[in-house]
Amino acid sequence: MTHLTRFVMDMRRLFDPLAEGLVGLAALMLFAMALLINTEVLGRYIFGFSTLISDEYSGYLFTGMTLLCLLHALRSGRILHVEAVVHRLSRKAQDLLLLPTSLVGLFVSAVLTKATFALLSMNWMFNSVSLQPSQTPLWIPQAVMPLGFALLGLGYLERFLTAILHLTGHLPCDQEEMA
Amino acid sequence: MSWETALLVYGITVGACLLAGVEIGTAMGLVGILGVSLVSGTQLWQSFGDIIWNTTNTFTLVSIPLFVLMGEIILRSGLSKRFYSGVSHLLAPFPGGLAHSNVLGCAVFSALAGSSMATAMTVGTVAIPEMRTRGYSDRLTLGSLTGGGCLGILIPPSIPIIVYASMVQESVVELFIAGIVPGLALAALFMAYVAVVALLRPSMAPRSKEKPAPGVVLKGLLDTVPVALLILAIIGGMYFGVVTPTEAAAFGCLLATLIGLAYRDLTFSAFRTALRNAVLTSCVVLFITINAQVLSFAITTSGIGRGVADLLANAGVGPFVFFCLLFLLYLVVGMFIDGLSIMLLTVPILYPSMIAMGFDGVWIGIIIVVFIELGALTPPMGLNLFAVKSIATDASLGQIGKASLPFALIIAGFGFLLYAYPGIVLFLPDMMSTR
Repeated sequence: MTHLTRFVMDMRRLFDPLAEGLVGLAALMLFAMALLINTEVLGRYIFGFSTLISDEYSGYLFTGMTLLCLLHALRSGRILHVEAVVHRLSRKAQDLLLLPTSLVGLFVSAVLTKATFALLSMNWMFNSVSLQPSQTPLWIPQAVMPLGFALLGLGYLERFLTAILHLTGHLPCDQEEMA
Repeated sequence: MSWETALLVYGITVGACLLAGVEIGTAMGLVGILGVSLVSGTQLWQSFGDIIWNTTNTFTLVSIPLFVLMGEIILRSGLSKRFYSGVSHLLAPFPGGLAHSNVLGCAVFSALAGSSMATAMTVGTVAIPEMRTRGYSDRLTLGSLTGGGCLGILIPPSIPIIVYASMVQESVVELFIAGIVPGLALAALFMAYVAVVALLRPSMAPRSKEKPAPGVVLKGLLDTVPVALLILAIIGGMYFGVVTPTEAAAFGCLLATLIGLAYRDLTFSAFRTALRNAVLTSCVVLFITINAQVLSFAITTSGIGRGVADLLANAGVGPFVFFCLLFLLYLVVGMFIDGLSIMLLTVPILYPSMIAMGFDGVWIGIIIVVFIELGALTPPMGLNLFAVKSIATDASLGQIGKASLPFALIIAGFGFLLYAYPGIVLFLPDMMSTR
């Protein structure tokens, strides 16, 4: 087993539970969001009070749940793509095509990680807070954005390295399935 | 760089990426990044952070995971099967009986769940064996499932409509309300087609010889009540301004959970699966939406939207020709790409032209959704065909495609009807006090 094979296997061992755990966390966020908005609606019409944070925090929760799920969505093939042409190719051609396409994904993820990190740093530096009554420091909900895109980038890196291992015969498909 | 060159570069890059299997959202993001970089280097990259933050914090979009969750709870709690069974008892005496139940059941559940796949699984797994046992032709059974599943994105709540509203800053409530009449009219047309086929060729839909007992009909009626009330509460709440779409979605989740618990149909495991599927589905939708906004920024920066609008105006292209071109574009591209992605790819480019031609923003949204429905029925990448194939494994995609053809033709004709009579779309939103 080469160093690269071992590295990819380690990556998988790390990402499998991580991606699952993040989806679980996102599910809790969705539950919290539903609870928060219902508290707002029922509070407004029945008990005559407002949470004052319902709109704002549901947005933060939505941002968090979306970005935390990106790694899982990519690895499970849920992110929409056109399969009409690729599926007609041989396995080797598909692996070959995965090299440039994974690099495209890696590049886009890297740029978006950089851009969202820049936004986070700026808000951290200037201690920006939301305009809502909660005056939440914006860097807190924004921290999940570079994290999510960075994880997506790592997902693309894993796919790229796996394709290399397939092409060089260091990771046959049956071994991959066993792993 | 001129806007024509930019459009060419964008088109080629997106096309090449999609054919190579790059994720649709990623391809949009790449073109957006390249487009902005070609115009102003890496200076504006920092704006992507703001774009992403503003997109994910759009309160309108927050309703997406909640609507999906509500649908998932209904589908997984057994409420959907009760509703389908109730509707089938009520519609059984009519010509085409169970095929009507398919159209109605699929329309209601794809609207609530936002997923044709989940709807086909729920309705189809009950309907296909039952209809085969009763001697219905597969052509009618499969077609009514694929056709009915299409209606969901027109009838509120609809994810493509929410995304469209957030892109062009139209009111979600007005768009939801605008979708009701066309959605019901299209469902009625589908049912009329089923009835005509059943009358002309009775062998395709044998009528039940037994008359349902009054008790069965009453039970059927009662089984449809919870879902009907849920839909009325959501749409009514939005229409009368009691709740925003996002609040309606959250309240819908609460009601669906309570109904599921009252019937003792909703288990903890089903609820957990519903939450999990809802976050993953929303993540996929939002990933494309985020990247579409990045692409939209590049399109604005390079002046493509304005350029296309000017070109069409100078070329003397009239509204009808433009409408036909739009129809052809969605028909062809819809054969290969899912509807939401086509919408996100084309709206930033074409919306300014359509507005310049005098089309109404709400009407455009509904027309685009009708065209997207058509794409879901056209091979080789019609999502509804795959959805039904996944449960009717012994039927070929060709068979399912043929069965769906009459429904696709009805949708196409309906699109032109909406062009001729825009009031079908606009009269209900026009009645709203907000308009």
